[in-house]
Amino acid sequence: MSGPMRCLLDKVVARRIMEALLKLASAQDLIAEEVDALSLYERSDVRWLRLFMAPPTDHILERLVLSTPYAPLIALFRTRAEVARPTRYFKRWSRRLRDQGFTREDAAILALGTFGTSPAADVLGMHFVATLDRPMLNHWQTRQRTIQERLVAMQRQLDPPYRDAFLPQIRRPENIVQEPQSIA
Amino acid sequence: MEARLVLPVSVEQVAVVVRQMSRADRERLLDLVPDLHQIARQAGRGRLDDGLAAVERARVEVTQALAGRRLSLDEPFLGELTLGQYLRLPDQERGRLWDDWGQVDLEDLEELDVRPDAMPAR
Repeated sequence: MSGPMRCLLDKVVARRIMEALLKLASAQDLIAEEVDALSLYERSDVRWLRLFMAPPTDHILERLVLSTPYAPLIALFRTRAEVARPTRYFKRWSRRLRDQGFTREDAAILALGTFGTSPAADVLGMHFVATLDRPMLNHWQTRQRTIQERLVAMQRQLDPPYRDAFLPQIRRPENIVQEPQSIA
Repeated sequence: MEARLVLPVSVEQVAVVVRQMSRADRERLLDLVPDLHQIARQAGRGRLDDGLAAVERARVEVTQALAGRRLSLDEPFLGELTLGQYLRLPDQERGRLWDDWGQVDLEDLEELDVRPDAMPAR
């Protein structure tokens, strides 16, 4: 493996991080899920773990940043979380995932984990998708083998570099590894 | 010596089965695999320490970002709510608001071509 690993924050994990920052800024107590999400945010580092948010989350931040008091917090969040963009074949893979029983929204986030890229378009896919959605996580785990087979079947028709796309690992924030060496 | 068995399914699939077990069966499983107790205790302790340290680091970053100023809960937030009103809403309601505010359908976005040397997530 070369380069830092990449982790896509689903919208709830991104919201938990933003709410944690807002609560710290207004001297409020955090709940456990906010602490877990904040821990992942704090573990990110350009050397080994890059965080990404989905475009809908960025859209909310665009609105919030217009309000002066929140602008420094939004800037802080954006220093650690880039915006993931869908790549070619994203829609096709999202449809395949919907065929596996995922909702339209869940399929889109999961598809962004495989056919998503950075603003510079220099990467393909994510190593992790961080989620707190237990039903989606369970469904992914039970369908993972079939999903992998579908991806392999689709990849045969694709040209490089899309042929090298991988499935991300779908995990809760506290289960995203802390050290690159622990990636199997 | 016990014979070493190779799992015919993934650990994730085993976890799904465990989650479907009754409490009595889970307790029986802990009796059969006592190492799980110690691993869980160590992981819980480590997670707590990591969490507290992360909160403190973030608190410093937030204080620096705001130049030492504290956000007022009366500050206007989105959707004609104040920050305090927003934070006091039930989680489900805050989630619904984020759905409304983040109205971007990923399927409507243009698909980008990555660079030929784009790094896959392997």
